[in-house]
Amino acid sequence: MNMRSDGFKVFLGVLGGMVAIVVFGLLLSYAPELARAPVPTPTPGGVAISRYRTISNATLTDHDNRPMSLGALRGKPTLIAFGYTFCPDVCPLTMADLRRVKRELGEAGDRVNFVFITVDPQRDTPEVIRRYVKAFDPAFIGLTGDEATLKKLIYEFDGLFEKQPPQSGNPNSYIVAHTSFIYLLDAQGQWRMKYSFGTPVEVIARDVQAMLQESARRG
Amino acid sequence: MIKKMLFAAVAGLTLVACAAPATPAQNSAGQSDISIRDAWAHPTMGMVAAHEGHAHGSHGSSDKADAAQSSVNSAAYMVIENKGNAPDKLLSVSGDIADMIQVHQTREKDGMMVMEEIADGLEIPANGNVELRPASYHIMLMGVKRDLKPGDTFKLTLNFQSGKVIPVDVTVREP
Ligand SMILES: [Cu+2]
Repeated sequence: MNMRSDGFKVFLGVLGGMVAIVVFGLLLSYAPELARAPVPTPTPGGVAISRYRTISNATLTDHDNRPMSLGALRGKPTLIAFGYTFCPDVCPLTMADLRRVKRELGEAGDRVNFVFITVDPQRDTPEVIRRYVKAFDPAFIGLTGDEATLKKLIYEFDGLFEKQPPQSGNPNSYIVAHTSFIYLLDAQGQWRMKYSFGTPVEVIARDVQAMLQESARRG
Repeated sequence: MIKKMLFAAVAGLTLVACAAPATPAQNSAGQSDISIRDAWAHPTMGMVAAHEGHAHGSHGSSDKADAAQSSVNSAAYMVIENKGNAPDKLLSVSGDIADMIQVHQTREKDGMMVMEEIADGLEIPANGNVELRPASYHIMLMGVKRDLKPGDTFKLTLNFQSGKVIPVDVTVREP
């Protein structure tokens, strides 16, 4: 290798670099468009429960501090969401989705139970739950119970929750980790569908609508 | 030889990058340029007044006096955009709307949703943005002091690693 060819290669390298920067610059000028293009979010549908499960007839406490068995919900399709009022992020979204499902259903929404079950019985007293669910819709039902009963119940839906150690000095500022789905039960109390967080409300409303027609056909 | 060519290519790139005023904006190299848009927060739906009433009512009565009290919480979301050519970090958020304000991330853990404080700051990349949105990054408002109704606004102050302090008007609305 002599100096000249080395020098030529360096020249080629610099030239290459310049070409690269021009190409890069051109790409960059399109980049804002690319960056702003909405990320195609998956639109998850519901998951059908292959073998319908009859949910146990656990006795819980409703938002008026009265005992209420889950069996009392039978006779209407029922949408259930587990959550807790301290949760500021996912839970209000789920509750707002339930409200939108009800709006979507219109009058038929009155023939459906909308149920919030707390995973935080320690802080979510019936009074707190009542204020919470009624703020979303006056017809919504809120339920609590002792922790063991609630854990068993969410387990029936293949779910779970787990109180986390408090993050700050305040022992009341703990988080409760929990699975976050909306469940659809039929009028016989059988668990039929499961919807992950973010499922479009139209999808849920359509399934509920179909279920209402199904029970109408049964008479 | 290939090494030499690569080196020269990098040198060429650097030369061009330095020579050309790549960014038309007048920020000097290594500065973030932060702006905020679409800031909103969940309503608290009459919970705050109820909560306070309850707290006052339970004063003096020893039954369940030390029962755990749930604070009323909300979360704020927004898009944080950085048009500068240096990354920055959202270190903390302050405001008088809540007792405690933290930058949080909701994530999945063993199939469950949990949220945690982002203790070492939320990175905002150079020439990029970070969207705070439900089930992801959010500004957690713990112990909201007044009821937040749709249409209400409140102020937050975002404190960045660069020293930038950015006030934000947050609008309360249904998600
Ligand atoms: Cu949070």
